[in-house]
Amino acid sequence: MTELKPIVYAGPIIGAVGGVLFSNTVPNIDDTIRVADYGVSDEAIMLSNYAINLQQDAASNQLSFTASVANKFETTVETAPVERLLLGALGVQFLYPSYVGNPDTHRIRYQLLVSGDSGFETTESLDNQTTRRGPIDNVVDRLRVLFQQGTDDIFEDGVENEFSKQLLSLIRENCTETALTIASMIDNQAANLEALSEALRWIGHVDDSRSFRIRRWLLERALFSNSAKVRDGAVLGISYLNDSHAVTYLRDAIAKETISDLRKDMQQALRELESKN
Amino acid sequence: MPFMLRVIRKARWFEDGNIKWLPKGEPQADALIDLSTKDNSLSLFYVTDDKSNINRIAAAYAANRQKISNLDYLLFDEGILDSVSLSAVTTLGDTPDIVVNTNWHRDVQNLSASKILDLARILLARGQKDRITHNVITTELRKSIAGGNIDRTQIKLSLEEVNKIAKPIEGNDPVAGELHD
Repeated sequence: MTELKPIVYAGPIIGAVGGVLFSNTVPNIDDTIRVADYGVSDEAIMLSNYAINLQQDAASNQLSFTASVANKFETTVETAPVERLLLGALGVQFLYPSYVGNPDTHRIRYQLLVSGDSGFETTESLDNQTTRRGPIDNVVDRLRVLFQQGTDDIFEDGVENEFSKQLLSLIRENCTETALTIASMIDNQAANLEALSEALRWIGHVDDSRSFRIRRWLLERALFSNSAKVRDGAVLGISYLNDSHAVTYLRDAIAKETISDLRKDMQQALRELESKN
Repeated sequence: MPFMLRVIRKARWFEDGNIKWLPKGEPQADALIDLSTKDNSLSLFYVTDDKSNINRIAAAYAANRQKISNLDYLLFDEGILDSVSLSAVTTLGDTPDIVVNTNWHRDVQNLSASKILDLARILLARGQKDRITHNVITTELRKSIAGGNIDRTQIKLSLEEVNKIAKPIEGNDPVAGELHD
Protein backbone atom coordinates (compact mmCIF):
# COMPACT_ATOMS: atom_id res chain seq x y z
CA MET A 1 0.00 0.00 0.00
CA THR A 2 1.43 3.36 -0.93
CA GLU A 3 0.64 6.96 -0.18
CA LEU A 4 -1.25 6.29 2.95
CA LYS A 5 -3.31 9.27 3.81
CA PRO A 6 -4.01 9.64 7.54
CA ILE A 7 -7.61 10.39 8.27
CA VAL A 8 -7.93 10.75 12.02
CA TYR A 9 -6.51 9.91 15.37
CA ALA A 10 -4.93 8.70 18.60
CA GLY A 11 -7.51 8.53 21.26
CA PRO A 12 -11.17 8.12 20.72
CA ILE A 13 -12.34 8.62 17.23
CA ILE A 14 -14.85 11.38 17.14
CA GLY A 15 -17.65 11.61 14.70
CA ALA A 16 -20.03 9.41 12.87
CA VAL A 17 -18.42 6.65 10.95
CA GLY A 18 -20.21 7.54 7.80
CA GLY A 19 -18.78 10.98 7.98
CA VAL A 20 -15.31 9.68 8.46
CA LEU A 21 -15.46 7.22 5.67
CA PHE A 22 -17.23 9.38 3.20
CA SER A 23 -15.73 12.72 3.83
CA ASN A 24 -12.49 11.95 5.58
CA THR A 25 -13.32 14.61 8.10
CA VAL A 26 -14.44 14.75 11.68
CA PRO A 27 -18.04 15.90 11.51
CA ASN A 28 -19.19 15.89 15.13
CA ILE A 29 -17.94 15.68 18.65
CA ASP A 30 -20.85 13.61 19.75
CA ASP A 31 -20.13 10.01 19.20
CA THR A 32 -17.27 7.73 19.79
CA ILE A 33 -16.52 5.16 17.20
CA ARG A 34 -15.22 1.97 18.51
CA VAL A 35 -13.30 -0.40 16.39
CA ALA A 36 -13.08 -4.06 16.99
CA ASP A 37 -11.10 -6.64 15.24
CA TYR A 38 -13.21 -9.55 16.20
CA GLY A 39 -13.03 -13.23 15.58
CA VAL A 40 -9.51 -13.58 14.25
CA SER A 41 -7.95 -14.88 17.39
CA ASP A 42 -8.53 -14.89 21.09
CA GLU A 43 -6.66 -11.65 21.40
CA ALA A 44 -8.51 -9.89 18.70
CA ILE A 45 -11.28 -8.19 20.51
CA MET A 46 -11.08 -4.60 21.37
CA LEU A 47 -13.58 -1.89 21.59
CA SER A 48 -12.50 1.04 23.61
CA ASN A 49 -9.63 2.60 25.44
CA TYR A 50 -7.88 2.33 22.19
CA ALA A 51 -5.59 4.34 20.07
CA ILE A 52 -6.28 3.95 16.46
CA ASN A 53 -4.96 4.87 13.11
CA LEU A 54 -7.18 4.71 10.12
CA GLN A 55 -5.54 5.32 6.84
CA GLN A 56 -6.72 5.44 3.32
CA ASP A 57 -4.71 4.69 0.26
CA ALA A 58 -5.73 7.48 -2.06
CA ALA A 59 -4.73 5.61 -5.18
CA SER A 60 -6.48 2.33 -4.52
CA ASN A 61 -9.14 3.55 -2.16
CA GLN A 62 -8.03 0.97 0.36
CA LEU A 63 -8.50 1.45 4.07
CA SER A 64 -6.31 0.11 6.77
CA PHE A 65 -6.82 0.22 10.49
CA THR A 66 -4.14 0.00 13.07
CA ALA A 67 -5.42 -0.11 16.59
CA SER A 68 -4.10 -0.80 20.01
CA VAL A 69 -5.85 -1.27 23.29
CA ALA A 70 -4.30 -0.28 26.58
CA ASN A 71 -0.91 -0.92 25.02
CA LYS A 72 -1.56 -4.60 25.27
CA PHE A 73 -1.50 -5.48 21.66
CA GLU A 74 -1.79 -4.11 18.21
CA THR A 75 -3.53 -5.36 15.23
CA THR A 76 -3.90 -4.23 11.72
CA VAL A 77 -6.82 -5.00 9.55
CA GLU A 78 -6.66 -4.16 5.93
CA THR A 79 -9.78 -3.96 3.98
CA ALA A 80 -10.66 -3.81 0.38
CA PRO A 81 -12.08 -0.69 -1.24
CA VAL A 82 -14.16 1.63 0.82
CA GLU A 83 -17.26 0.80 -1.10
CA ARG A 84 -16.93 -2.81 -0.19
CA LEU A 85 -16.31 -1.93 3.40
CA LEU A 86 -19.51 0.02 3.38
CA LEU A 87 -21.39 -2.92 2.03
CA GLY A 88 -20.02 -5.10 4.76
CA ALA A 89 -18.10 -7.25 2.35
CA LEU A 90 -14.91 -9.15 3.02
CA GLY A 91 -15.94 -10.08 6.48
CA VAL A 92 -16.05 -6.49 7.56
CA GLN A 93 -19.02 -5.92 9.73
CA PHE A 94 -19.85 -2.60 11.16
CA LEU A 95 -22.12 -0.14 12.79
CA TYR A 96 -23.48 -1.58 15.92
CA PRO A 97 -25.21 1.13 17.85
CA SER A 98 -25.02 1.07 21.58
CA TYR A 99 -26.39 3.02 24.45
CA VAL A 100 -24.81 6.41 24.82
CA GLY A 101 -25.97 7.41 28.23
CA ASN A 102 -28.88 9.70 27.78
CA PRO A 103 -32.00 7.60 27.33
CA ASP A 104 -34.07 10.63 26.46
CA THR A 105 -32.25 11.61 23.34
CA HIS A 106 -31.80 8.11 21.99
CA ARG A 107 -28.54 9.11 20.46
CA ILE A 108 -26.71 6.18 19.06
CA ARG A 109 -23.07 5.38 19.37
CA TYR A 110 -21.65 3.32 16.61
CA GLN A 111 -19.11 0.63 16.72
CA LEU A 112 -17.20 -0.19 13.63
CA LEU A 113 -16.68 -3.88 13.90
CA VAL A 114 -13.98 -5.25 11.72
CA SER A 115 -14.01 -8.96 11.47
CA GLY A 116 -11.41 -11.24 10.01
CA ASP A 117 -13.98 -13.91 9.50
CA SER A 118 -17.69 -14.04 9.06
CA GLY A 119 -18.44 -14.13 12.76
CA PHE A 120 -21.14 -11.50 12.63
CA GLU A 121 -24.43 -12.31 11.13
CA THR A 122 -25.39 -9.00 9.68
CA THR A 123 -24.35 -5.61 8.54
CA GLU A 124 -26.13 -2.34 8.28
CA SER A 125 -26.18 0.35 5.72
CA LEU A 126 -24.53 3.60 6.56
CA ASP A 127 -27.63 5.31 5.22
CA ASN A 128 -29.38 4.31 8.38
CA GLN A 129 -26.91 5.61 10.78
CA THR A 130 -28.71 7.93 13.13
CA THR A 131 -32.36 7.32 12.45
CA ARG A 132 -32.65 3.60 12.22
CA ARG A 133 -35.01 2.00 14.71
CA GLY A 134 -34.72 -1.72 14.25
CA PRO A 135 -33.98 -4.89 16.15
CA ILE A 136 -30.58 -3.71 17.31
CA ASP A 137 -32.06 -0.56 18.74
CA ASN A 138 -34.47 -2.78 20.53
CA VAL A 139 -31.60 -4.41 22.34
CA VAL A 140 -30.53 -1.00 23.58
CA ASP A 141 -34.04 -0.11 24.60
CA ARG A 142 -34.69 -3.46 26.20
CA LEU A 143 -31.52 -3.20 28.22
CA ARG A 144 -32.36 0.31 29.28
CA VAL A 145 -35.77 -0.78 30.54
CA LEU A 146 -34.32 -3.90 32.12
CA PHE A 147 -31.76 -1.96 34.10
CA GLN A 148 -34.30 0.62 35.15
CA GLN A 149 -36.49 -2.15 36.51
CA GLY A 150 -33.44 -3.78 38.10
CA THR A 151 -32.92 -0.69 40.22
CA ASP A 152 -35.77 -1.84 42.43
CA ASP A 153 -34.60 -5.44 42.73
CA ILE A 154 -32.75 -6.89 45.67
CA PHE A 155 -30.27 -9.36 44.28
CA GLU A 156 -28.93 -12.48 45.90
CA ASP A 157 -26.11 -14.57 44.51
CA GLY A 158 -27.28 -17.59 42.58
CA VAL A 159 -30.95 -16.74 42.80
CA GLU A 160 -32.71 -16.27 39.49
CA ASN A 161 -35.07 -13.39 39.03
CA GLU A 162 -36.84 -11.61 36.21
CA PHE A 163 -33.79 -9.43 35.65
CA SER A 164 -31.46 -12.38 35.16
CA LYS A 165 -33.92 -14.25 32.96
CA GLN A 166 -34.40 -11.33 30.61
CA LEU A 167 -30.71 -10.57 30.53
CA LEU A 168 -29.81 -14.15 29.61
CA SER A 169 -32.46 -14.09 26.94
CA LEU A 170 -30.91 -10.96 25.44
CA ILE A 171 -27.45 -12.45 25.51
CA ARG A 172 -28.62 -15.55 23.71
CA GLU A 173 -30.48 -13.50 21.11
CA ASN A 174 -27.96 -10.71 20.52
CA CYS A 175 -24.82 -11.40 22.44
CA THR A 176 -22.59 -8.84 20.77
CA GLU A 177 -25.00 -5.95 20.93
CA THR A 178 -25.92 -6.78 24.48
CA ALA A 179 -22.29 -6.93 25.59
CA LEU A 180 -21.37 -3.73 23.81
CA THR A 181 -24.31 -1.89 25.28
CA ILE A 182 -23.56 -3.07 28.81
CA ALA A 183 -19.92 -2.04 28.31
CA SER A 184 -21.13 1.39 27.35
CA MET A 185 -23.43 1.53 30.36
CA ILE A 186 -20.52 0.66 32.62
CA ASP A 187 -18.34 3.34 31.04
CA ASN A 188 -21.01 5.95 31.53
CA GLN A 189 -22.30 4.52 34.80
CA ALA A 190 -25.61 4.81 33.03
CA ALA A 191 -27.36 2.21 35.13
CA ASN A 192 -27.72 1.18 38.73
CA LEU A 193 -24.34 -0.18 39.83
CA GLU A 194 -25.80 -3.08 41.78
CA ALA A 195 -27.76 -4.10 38.69
CA LEU A 196 -24.63 -3.85 36.53
CA SER A 197 -22.76 -5.99 39.04
CA GLU A 198 -25.58 -8.52 39.00
CA ALA A 199 -25.53 -8.55 35.21
CA LEU A 200 -21.82 -9.36 35.14
CA ARG A 201 -22.35 -12.30 37.46
CA TRP A 202 -24.96 -13.77 35.12
CA ILE A 203 -22.88 -13.00 32.07
CA GLY A 204 -20.26 -15.28 33.56
CA HIS A 205 -22.86 -17.93 34.29
CA VAL A 206 -24.27 -18.19 30.78
CA ASP A 207 -23.64 -21.52 29.15
CA ASP A 208 -23.36 -20.34 25.55
CA SER A 209 -20.23 -21.00 23.55
CA ARG A 210 -21.23 -18.63 20.74
CA SER A 211 -21.09 -15.61 23.01
CA PHE A 212 -18.14 -16.79 25.07
CA ARG A 213 -15.47 -14.43 23.74
CA ILE A 214 -17.54 -11.29 23.80
CA ARG A 215 -18.72 -12.10 27.32
CA ARG A 216 -15.15 -12.74 28.40
CA TRP A 217 -14.08 -9.47 26.84
CA LEU A 218 -16.79 -7.60 28.71
CA LEU A 219 -15.89 -9.19 32.04
CA GLU A 220 -12.16 -8.59 31.64
CA ARG A 221 -12.82 -5.00 30.74
CA ALA A 222 -15.17 -4.47 33.67
CA LEU A 223 -12.35 -5.38 36.06
CA PHE A 224 -11.12 -1.85 35.50
CA SER A 225 -14.40 -0.04 36.03
CA ASN A 226 -14.48 2.99 38.31
CA SER A 227 -17.12 1.26 40.39
CA ALA A 228 -16.04 -1.24 43.05
CA LYS A 229 -19.40 -2.99 42.78
CA VAL A 230 -18.93 -3.43 39.06
CA ARG A 231 -15.39 -4.73 39.58
CA ASP A 232 -16.73 -7.20 42.13
CA GLY A 233 -19.33 -8.43 39.65
CA ALA A 234 -16.60 -8.78 37.04
CA VAL A 235 -14.43 -10.89 39.35
CA LEU A 236 -17.33 -13.21 40.02
CA GLY A 237 -18.32 -13.40 36.37
CA ILE A 238 -14.75 -14.28 35.47
CA SER A 239 -14.62 -16.96 38.13
CA TYR A 240 -17.82 -18.51 36.75
CA LEU A 241 -16.42 -18.32 33.23
CA ASN A 242 -13.42 -20.24 34.50
CA ASP A 243 -11.11 -19.35 31.62
CA SER A 244 -7.41 -18.79 32.21
CA HIS A 245 -7.36 -16.08 29.54
CA ALA A 246 -8.39 -13.70 32.32
CA VAL A 247 -5.23 -14.32 34.35
CA THR A 248 -3.32 -11.39 32.87
CA TYR A 249 -6.23 -9.06 33.36
CA LEU A 250 -6.74 -10.18 36.94
CA ARG A 251 -3.08 -9.56 37.71
CA ASP A 252 -3.35 -6.06 36.31
CA ALA A 253 -6.54 -5.44 38.23
CA ILE A 254 -4.99 -6.68 41.48
CA ALA A 255 -2.07 -4.30 41.04
CA LYS A 256 -4.49 -1.40 40.69
CA GLU A 257 -7.09 -2.38 43.26
CA THR A 258 -7.32 -0.06 46.26
CA ILE A 259 -10.02 -1.86 48.24
CA SER A 260 -8.36 -4.60 50.24
CA ASP A 261 -11.39 -6.89 50.41
CA LEU A 262 -11.86 -6.70 46.68
CA ARG A 263 -8.17 -7.23 46.03
CA LYS A 264 -8.35 -10.35 48.19
CA ASP A 265 -11.27 -11.65 46.14
CA MET A 266 -9.38 -10.97 42.94
CA GLN A 267 -6.38 -12.87 44.29
CA GLN A 268 -8.63 -15.76 45.22
CA ALA A 269 -10.10 -15.86 41.71
CA LEU A 270 -6.61 -15.66 40.24
CA ARG A 271 -5.37 -18.57 42.33
CA GLU A 272 -8.25 -20.71 41.15
CA LEU A 273 -7.65 -19.89 37.50
CA GLU A 274 -3.92 -20.49 37.82
CA SER A 275 -4.52 -23.80 39.55
CA LYS A 276 -6.53 -24.90 36.53
CA ASN A 277 -3.31 -25.15 34.60
CA MET B 1 -15.86 -18.85 71.40
CA PRO B 2 -18.28 -19.95 68.71
CA PHE B 3 -19.28 -17.68 65.85
CA MET B 4 -22.34 -16.50 64.03
CA LEU B 5 -22.58 -16.41 60.26
CA ARG B 6 -24.71 -14.20 58.07
CA VAL B 7 -24.77 -14.53 54.29
CA ILE B 8 -24.04 -11.19 52.64
CA ARG B 9 -22.73 -9.60 49.47
CA LYS B 10 -19.23 -8.42 50.26
CA ALA B 11 -19.40 -5.42 47.95
CA ARG B 12 -22.12 -3.94 50.16
CA TRP B 13 -19.60 -3.92 53.01
CA PHE B 14 -16.61 -2.40 51.25
CA GLU B 15 -14.98 0.36 53.25
CA ASP B 16 -11.25 0.89 53.57
CA GLY B 17 -11.48 4.63 53.31
CA ASN B 18 -11.31 4.20 49.57
CA ILE B 19 -14.95 4.87 48.99
CA LYS B 20 -14.58 8.60 49.02
CA TRP B 21 -18.06 9.60 50.10
CA LEU B 22 -18.25 7.06 52.94
CA PRO B 23 -17.23 8.27 56.42
CA LYS B 24 -14.65 6.05 58.03
CA GLY B 25 -16.20 3.33 60.17
CA GLU B 26 -19.63 3.76 58.64
CA PRO B 27 -21.26 0.91 56.75
CA GLN B 28 -22.73 1.59 53.34
CA ALA B 29 -26.51 1.94 53.46
CA ASP B 30 -26.65 -1.07 51.14
CA ALA B 31 -25.15 -3.18 53.93
CA LEU B 32 -28.54 -3.02 55.61
CA ILE B 33 -29.94 -5.04 52.70
CA ASP B 34 -27.84 -7.89 54.02
CA LEU B 35 -29.38 -7.50 57.45
CA SER B 36 -32.95 -7.57 56.26
CA THR B 37 -35.38 -9.10 58.73
CA LYS B 38 -38.58 -11.10 58.57
CA ASP B 39 -41.04 -10.47 61.38
CA ASN B 40 -38.27 -8.41 62.95
CA SER B 41 -36.02 -11.47 63.16
CA LEU B 42 -32.57 -11.86 61.65
CA SER B 43 -31.56 -15.30 60.44
CA LEU B 44 -28.04 -16.49 61.33
CA PHE B 45 -26.11 -19.73 61.42
CA TYR B 46 -24.14 -20.98 64.38
CA VAL B 47 -20.51 -21.83 63.60
CA THR B 48 -18.42 -23.97 65.93
CA ASP B 49 -15.19 -22.75 67.54
CA ASP B 50 -13.09 -24.61 64.99
CA LYS B 51 -15.30 -23.45 62.11
CA SER B 52 -15.56 -27.02 60.92
CA ASN B 53 -19.24 -26.74 60.03
CA ILE B 54 -18.96 -23.72 57.74
CA ASN B 55 -18.67 -25.70 54.54
CA ARG B 56 -21.66 -27.85 55.40
CA ILE B 57 -23.72 -24.76 56.11
CA ALA B 58 -22.51 -23.25 52.85
CA ALA B 59 -23.50 -26.34 50.88
CA ALA B 60 -26.93 -26.40 52.48
CA TYR B 61 -27.47 -22.74 51.75
CA ALA B 62 -26.25 -23.13 48.16
CA ALA B 63 -28.66 -25.98 47.54
CA ASN B 64 -31.48 -23.50 48.08
CA ARG B 65 -30.37 -21.43 45.08
CA GLN B 66 -30.90 -22.03 41.38
CA LYS B 67 -27.28 -21.43 40.34
CA ILE B 68 -24.08 -22.62 41.96
CA SER B 69 -22.45 -19.39 43.00
CA ASN B 70 -20.00 -17.96 45.45
CA LEU B 71 -21.16 -17.56 49.00
CA ASP B 72 -20.13 -14.36 50.76
CA TYR B 73 -20.52 -14.28 54.49
CA LEU B 74 -19.86 -12.26 57.58
CA LEU B 75 -18.54 -14.21 60.54
CA PHE B 76 -18.48 -12.76 64.01
CA ASP B 77 -18.00 -13.81 67.62
CA GLU B 78 -21.23 -14.86 69.24
CA GLY B 79 -20.38 -12.44 72.05
CA ILE B 80 -20.85 -9.48 69.75
CA LEU B 81 -24.58 -9.99 70.05
CA ASP B 82 -24.32 -9.55 73.83
CA SER B 83 -22.39 -6.35 73.37
CA VAL B 84 -25.38 -4.79 71.63
CA SER B 85 -27.86 -6.38 74.05
CA LEU B 86 -29.07 -8.99 71.58
CA SER B 87 -29.32 -12.72 71.80
CA ALA B 88 -29.94 -15.55 69.37
CA VAL B 89 -32.40 -18.38 69.80
CA THR B 90 -32.40 -21.73 68.05
CA THR B 91 -35.06 -21.93 65.36
CA LEU B 92 -35.70 -24.27 62.47
CA GLY B 93 -33.87 -23.39 59.26
CA ASP B 94 -35.19 -24.06 55.77
CA THR B 95 -32.25 -25.62 53.97
CA PRO B 96 -32.27 -29.16 52.56
CA ASP B 97 -29.90 -30.27 55.37
CA ILE B 98 -31.76 -31.30 58.50
CA VAL B 99 -28.69 -30.99 60.74
CA VAL B 100 -28.06 -27.45 59.58
CA ASN B 101 -31.74 -26.64 60.10
CA THR B 102 -32.14 -28.10 63.58
CA ASN B 103 -28.72 -27.63 65.16
CA TRP B 104 -27.17 -24.56 63.63
CA HIS B 105 -29.88 -22.16 62.65
CA ARG B 106 -30.51 -19.16 64.88
CA ASP B 107 -32.76 -16.12 64.93
CA VAL B 108 -32.12 -12.81 66.58
CA GLN B 109 -35.65 -11.71 67.38
CA ASN B 110 -37.50 -8.54 68.29
CA LEU B 111 -35.14 -6.28 66.43
CA SER B 112 -35.71 -2.56 66.13
CA ALA B 113 -34.34 -0.52 63.25
CA SER B 114 -31.79 1.14 65.49
CA LYS B 115 -30.59 -2.25 66.74
CA ILE B 116 -29.99 -3.33 63.16
CA LEU B 117 -27.93 -0.22 62.58
CA ASP B 118 -25.96 -0.84 65.78
CA LEU B 119 -25.34 -4.36 64.61
CA ALA B 120 -24.24 -3.22 61.15
CA ARG B 121 -21.71 -0.83 62.66
CA ILE B 122 -20.23 -3.36 65.02
CA LEU B 123 -20.14 -6.08 62.37
CA LEU B 124 -18.30 -3.77 60.01
CA ALA B 125 -15.73 -3.10 62.71
CA ARG B 126 -15.37 -6.57 64.17
CA GLY B 127 -16.80 -9.06 61.73
CA GLN B 128 -14.78 -11.10 59.29
CA LYS B 129 -15.93 -10.94 55.68
CA ASP B 130 -15.08 -13.85 53.51
CA ARG B 131 -16.00 -15.57 50.26
CA ILE B 132 -16.36 -19.24 49.41
CA THR B 133 -15.90 -19.56 45.67
CA HIS B 134 -18.34 -21.39 43.47
CA ASN B 135 -15.73 -24.07 42.81
CA VAL B 136 -15.50 -24.84 46.51
CA ILE B 137 -19.27 -24.67 46.81
CA THR B 138 -19.57 -27.20 43.99
CA THR B 139 -17.21 -29.56 45.79
CA GLU B 140 -19.01 -29.13 49.09
CA LEU B 141 -22.39 -29.68 47.47
CA ARG B 142 -21.10 -32.86 45.92
CA LYS B 143 -19.79 -34.07 49.28
CA SER B 144 -22.95 -33.15 51.14
CA ILE B 145 -25.12 -34.93 48.61
CA ALA B 146 -22.89 -37.99 48.50
CA GLY B 147 -22.77 -38.09 52.28
CA GLY B 148 -26.52 -37.93 52.58
CA ASN B 149 -26.48 -34.60 54.41
CA ILE B 150 -28.68 -32.94 51.85
CA ASP B 151 -32.15 -34.17 51.06
CA ARG B 152 -32.01 -34.52 47.29
CA THR B 153 -35.72 -33.91 46.92
CA GLN B 154 -35.34 -30.48 48.51
CA ILE B 155 -32.59 -29.21 46.23
CA LYS B 156 -33.62 -26.08 44.33
CA LEU B 157 -30.70 -26.03 41.90
CA SER B 158 -31.59 -26.07 38.23
CA LEU B 159 -31.10 -29.29 36.31
CA GLU B 160 -28.18 -27.69 34.50
CA GLU B 161 -26.47 -27.04 37.81
CA VAL B 162 -27.24 -30.50 39.12
CA ASN B 163 -25.54 -31.86 36.04
CA LYS B 164 -22.45 -29.81 36.85
CA ILE B 165 -22.27 -31.40 40.27
CA ALA B 166 -22.75 -34.83 38.83
CA LYS B 167 -20.50 -34.55 35.79
CA PRO B 168 -17.02 -35.08 37.23
CA ILE B 169 -18.02 -38.18 39.11
CA GLU B 170 -20.35 -39.80 36.65
CA GLY B 171 -19.70 -43.47 36.25
CA ASN B 172 -18.03 -44.00 39.56
CA ASP B 173 -20.28 -42.37 42.06
CA PRO B 174 -23.86 -43.15 42.90
CA VAL B 175 -24.66 -39.47 43.41
CA ALA B 176 -24.49 -38.75 39.72
CA GLY B 177 -27.14 -41.24 38.71
CA GLU B 178 -29.45 -40.37 41.55
CA LEU B 179 -29.25 -36.66 40.89
CA HIS B 180 -30.49 -37.23 37.39
CA ASP B 181 -33.55 -39.12 38.60
